[in-house]
Amino acid sequence: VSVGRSDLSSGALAVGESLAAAGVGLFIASDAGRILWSNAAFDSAFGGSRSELLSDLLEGGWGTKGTGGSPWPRPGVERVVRVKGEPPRYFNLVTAPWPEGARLGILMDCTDRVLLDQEREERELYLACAAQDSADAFVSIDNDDLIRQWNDGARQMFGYSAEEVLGRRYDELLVPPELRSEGDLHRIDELMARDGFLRGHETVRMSKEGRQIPVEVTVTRFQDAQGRPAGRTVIYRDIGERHRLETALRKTVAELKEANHSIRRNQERLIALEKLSAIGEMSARVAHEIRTPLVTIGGFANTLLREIPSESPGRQYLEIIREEVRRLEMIVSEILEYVRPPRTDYEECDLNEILKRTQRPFEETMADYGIEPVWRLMEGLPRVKASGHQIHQVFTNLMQNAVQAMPGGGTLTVTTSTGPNHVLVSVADTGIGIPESEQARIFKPFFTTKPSGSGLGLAIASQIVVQHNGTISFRSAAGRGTTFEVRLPFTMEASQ
Amino acid sequence: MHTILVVDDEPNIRLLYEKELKDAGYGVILACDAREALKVLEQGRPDLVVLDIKMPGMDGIEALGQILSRNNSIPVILNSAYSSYKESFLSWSADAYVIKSSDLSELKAKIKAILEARGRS
Repeated sequence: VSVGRSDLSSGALAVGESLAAAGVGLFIASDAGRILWSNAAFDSAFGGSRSELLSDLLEGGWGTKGTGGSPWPRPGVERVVRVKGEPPRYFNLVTAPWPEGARLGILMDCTDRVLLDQEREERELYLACAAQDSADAFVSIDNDDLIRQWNDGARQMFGYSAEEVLGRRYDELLVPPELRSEGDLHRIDELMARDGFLRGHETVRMSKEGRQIPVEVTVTRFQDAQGRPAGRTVIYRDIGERHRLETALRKTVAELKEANHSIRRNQERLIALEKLSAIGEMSARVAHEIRTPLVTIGGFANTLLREIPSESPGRQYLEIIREEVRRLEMIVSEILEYVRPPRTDYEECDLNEILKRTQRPFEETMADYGIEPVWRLMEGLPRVKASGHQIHQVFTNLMQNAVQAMPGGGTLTVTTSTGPNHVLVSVADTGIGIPESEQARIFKPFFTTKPSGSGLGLAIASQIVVQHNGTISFRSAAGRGTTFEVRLPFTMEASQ
Repeated sequence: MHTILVVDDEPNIRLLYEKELKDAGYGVILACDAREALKVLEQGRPDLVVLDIKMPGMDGIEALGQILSRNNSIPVILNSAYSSYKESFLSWSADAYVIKSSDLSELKAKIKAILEARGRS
């Protein structure tokens, strides 16, 4: 340290050395940065590697050369400079004017503080990047509920840019009014007060366009440098997709349950059908077994009726036997018709033709009762794939019912027409009608209102129509008559 | 006088048919099963067969085949408590199918019509 030392007063020298002992570097440099004098602390700061130029010692020079003006910091303004070398070291540099255009410089080591600051800045930068680019919305809110930070995720989720929201109340922007009045925020406050944080709270927030967004909210408090509460960070995660998946899952589960139920119902139906079919088989056997003795009972009654004199008192008893046997035979036939397995050999049938054929056996009775037949048959009626024999049976049963409902005369109207995919046959009488109390049961086997009926006519008709994938229905008004409607599809697969 | 062979395993049915058909003016031969019926057919020559279907041993449908294979000119009426055989194509080769009933008028009418038709031809 020889430069200009002689120019210094001994007082100044003493101050310099005293400061050097405290670790404060001192130097005097010319305006161009040539070091004129330095103390021991300055020298040791540079590890004894001396140079006459400050710029050789400092990373990036010491001033703002190139921007014009003096390279020196303004007097009294503190500046951090980095000293060349490994590891880097940092000093606070303050300068002051010195006579003859020179400068007095004071250097204080601040490496530890600078490194700490750098580390913190880096950490904050990483955090900021993570928050900024996150798909979740990161929103910082101060103690007055004003938005202070708004990341890109928030912009995308809610549709507001940062400029639009910073400094505005978050609750007015983001919380749907109905939730505000329901106390959603109050609940969050309570949980925050209890736990100090909030994690995974599910609620709904509102976008700029007013769209409701199901979100999961996480809230943490943060403090200022002095440890005072400064606000809170709120993270919103859009759980709309999760909700959709959950809804889809719930729907699938419900569908599976329903399918399961349906299988169980079908199983029960199958068991019931199996039972029915067993009952049917047994009924058929019983009916056949009964038929043979009936033939001989009734047959011999007929023989006797022919042989005994007409005035014989036993005659009327034989007639009763004969009639009752006929009735039993009719019931047996109907039971056998009912339990008959469905036919599968369907043919193309002209329903108009079958209707005409059906009517013939009734013509005499109808004339006797004073029933006027009215035919409204559609020309060119589409043919129906069906068992002609069975459909004939259906029409026979319907006409028989109609005729029996009009013992005092009336009108029997038979109509054919077409629907979108079916042929409609209606048989209407103007007879006594079916009492409302009995309407629900008329298709049930063995239900009858007639003294001599077997109660199978409509049951058989209904069974046959259903086997043909058709429907049978009726409407009836007491005293005004009944209309039966049979719908049979144009083309059909035979039901098994 | 026409002779009718009645084949039925039920004795009471045989009795009834014998009485009724005789009263109607026919000669009647009775057989209690198909085997016996085939034997009768070998010996004599009835003009018509009334054949039950459900019988122990050979049933009426099979018997019908046997009868027609030996003599396909003899008329056969299938007579059963069952209507289901009516749909079996095997029974189509019979001249008629009459479901058993206490009212024998249908059976008698069929017999009469078939015999009359034969008489004319």
